[in-house]
Amino acid sequence: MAESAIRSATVHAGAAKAQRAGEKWAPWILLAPTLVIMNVVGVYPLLHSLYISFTGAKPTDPNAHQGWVGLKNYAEVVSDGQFWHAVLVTGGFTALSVVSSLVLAVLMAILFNRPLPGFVLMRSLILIPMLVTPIAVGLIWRIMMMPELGVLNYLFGIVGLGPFQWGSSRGSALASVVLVDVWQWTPFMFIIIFAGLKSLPRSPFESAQIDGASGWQTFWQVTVPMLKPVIVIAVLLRLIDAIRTYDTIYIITRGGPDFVTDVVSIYLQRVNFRFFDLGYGSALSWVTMLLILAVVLIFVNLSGFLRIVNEKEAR
Amino acid sequence: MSVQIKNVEKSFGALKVVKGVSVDIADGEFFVMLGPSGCGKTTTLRMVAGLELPTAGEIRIGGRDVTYEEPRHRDIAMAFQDYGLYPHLSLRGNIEFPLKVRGVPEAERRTKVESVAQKMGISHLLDRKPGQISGGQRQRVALARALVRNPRVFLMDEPLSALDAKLRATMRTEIKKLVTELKITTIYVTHDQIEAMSMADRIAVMKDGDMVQIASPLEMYERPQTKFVAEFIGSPAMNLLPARARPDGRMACDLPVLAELLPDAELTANPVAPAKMAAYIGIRPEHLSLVEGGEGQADFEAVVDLVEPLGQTTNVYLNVGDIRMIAVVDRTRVQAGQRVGVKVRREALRLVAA
Repeated sequence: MAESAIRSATVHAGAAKAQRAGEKWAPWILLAPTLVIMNVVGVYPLLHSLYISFTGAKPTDPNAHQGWVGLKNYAEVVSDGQFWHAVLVTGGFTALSVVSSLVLAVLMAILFNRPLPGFVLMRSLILIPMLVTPIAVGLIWRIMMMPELGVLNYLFGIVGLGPFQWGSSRGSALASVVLVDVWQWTPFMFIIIFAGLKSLPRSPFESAQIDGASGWQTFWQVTVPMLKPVIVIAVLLRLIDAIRTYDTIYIITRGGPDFVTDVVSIYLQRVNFRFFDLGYGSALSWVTMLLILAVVLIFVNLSGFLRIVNEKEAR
Repeated sequence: MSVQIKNVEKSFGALKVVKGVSVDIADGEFFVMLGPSGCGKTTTLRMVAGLELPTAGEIRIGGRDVTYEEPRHRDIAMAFQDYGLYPHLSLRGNIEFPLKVRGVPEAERRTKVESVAQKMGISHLLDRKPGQISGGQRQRVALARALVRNPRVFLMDEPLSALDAKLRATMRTEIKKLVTELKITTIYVTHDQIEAMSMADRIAVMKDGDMVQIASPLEMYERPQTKFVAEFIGSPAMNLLPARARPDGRMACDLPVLAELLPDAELTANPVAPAKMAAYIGIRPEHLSLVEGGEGQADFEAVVDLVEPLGQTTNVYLNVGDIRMIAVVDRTRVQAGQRVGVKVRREALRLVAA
C-alpha cells in the first residue's frame, strides 16, 4: 500500500518534470513562425543591404566593379551635395508638418472636448483623411491643385485670391506638400491627443478654476503639462513618419520643381531604382537610417520621454 | 464671510438633483451638509463653488450675488475628495499655484508656502511630486493650497473619505482646529455622521435634493424631526415605533406604554410632525435601561434576543412581542433569552415625522 503510494508519487513527479520541460520549449514553438518570417523578410534583407552598401553593386551596368569596395560608398555620401540638400529639405518638411499638425491637433482636441451638438459626428468625419491611401491622397490633391483646372484655385478665385502655382512653383511647392501631409496626418495626432485629454482627471482643472487661473493660464500651466506624455508620443510617431514620407510627395511634385521638395526618400528611390546604383543607394539608406535614429534619440532625450515612462512604471 | 443659499435648484436634464435648498450660513460658521450618496450635497457645494450653475435660485457670498459668477472671482478655496492636486507640479508648485496665477511676487510666495507647509507638517516634502507621497500627505497639501491665500469661504467635498479610519480621526480634529483658529466660513460635505457631529457648528441633513433638517449636532441628535434623520444620525439608530393619532389628540402605538409616557409637550414640539399625522414614537437606545428583578419599576417587559458587549457599553437587542428594540447600557449580566424589565427615560421620548 505504502509502496504503491510512493510509486504513484514518483510517476506524478515524472509527469510534472515532463510538463516543466514542455513549458520551457512551448514559448519557442509558439514563436517559431513569427521568428522565421521576421528573419526572412526583416533581418536578412536588412543585413544583406548592409553588405551591399560595401559593394559596387549595379545590376544594370555590366562593366562596373560589382564586388567589395570597402568604405568608398560611405565616403561618397559625405561629399554628396544632392543628398545633404535632400536631408535639409526633409528636415524642413518634417519640422513644418509636425509642428503645424501638432498645433492644429491640440486646438481641435480642446474644441471637441466640449459637449456641443453635432460634434460626435464631426469628430468621426475628421478621421477620414487618415484612412485614405497616401497614393490616393496625392492624386486627389494633385488634381485639386492644378493651376488652371483645380478646384482650389477656383475657390480662391471666388474670394479674389490667386491663382497659385501650388506644387509647380519653386516658392510654393514645399508648402503645398506640407499642406497635404498636415491634412492627412493631423487626424492621427488629434485622435491620440484627444484620447489623452479625455483620460485626464477632472479635478485638477476644477482646482485651477477655484485657485483663480484664467483659461489661458489653465491651458499652459495645467492642460499642456498634463498632456505632455501623450504629446511626446504623438510627436515621436509623427516625426518618424514624416521623415519617411514618400508617396504623396512623389505623386504631387516628384521632388521638384528644381529639387525643392526632393526629400531623402525620393532621392533614395531615384538612386536605387532609377539608376539602380544599389551599392551606393544602400549606403545612402544606412546613413539615412542612422540620421533618423539620431533625431529620435535627441528628441527622446530632450523631451524627457524615458523619464515619463519610468515615472509611470514606478507608480 | 457669510453665505446665503436661496431656493437653489439644479437639474441635469430631466433629473432634479437639488430641489429648492435654502440656508443662511453665518460668518465663521462650520457648516456641514450630511447625507447619503446622491442626496445633492456635493452638487449644492459645487454650486457654491461655481463649478455648477444652479437652474434656479440665488447664492450670495458676503452679501454679494455670485450665482452666475466664475469660480475664480468668488475668492473661495476648495478641497476635493480626490485632492485635485496638479500631478506635474511639485508640492511647492501645487501650494503656490493660487498665488502664482494671481501674480504674487516670488519672495512673498516662498514665505507664505513655507509657513503654511510648516503648519500642515509637510515642509520636508515640498520638492516631491503628488505621486510620491501618501494619501494623508496629499490631503494636507490640498488643505495647504486652500489655506495659503486666506479665502473668504472654504469648501470641502468629503476631504477625508479616501483616508483610513485612524488617519481620518486625526485629520478631523486637525481640520476643525485649523479652521476654528482661522475663523474662515467653512462648508463641509460628508456622508459620515461622526465627522458631521464632531466638526459642525450646524448640520444640514440632506435627502433626495432637500435639506430635511438644519440644526446643531446635539439638537439634531436630541430632536430628529424625521425618521430619516433619526435613523441616519446616531449608532445604533434610534428606536422608532409606528404611531397613529387618536381622536383625543394623544398618540397610539403598538407598545401602548410609550404612547402614554410621551409627554404632552412633545405632541407639539416637532414642527414637521403635527400630532394628527401618522408618525413614530422614538427613543434613543441609551435612554432605555434594564431592570432586573425590581418589579414595578419597569415600564414594560422584554425578552433579551442578543447581547453585544463593546467594552465601554453593551448593545442589548430586545424583543417585545413582535417589536424589536435596542438598548445601550453599561456592563450587564443579562443573557439572551432572559426576561427583563425595561425602564424608559420619559423626557427623552420623541415624536418623529415619517
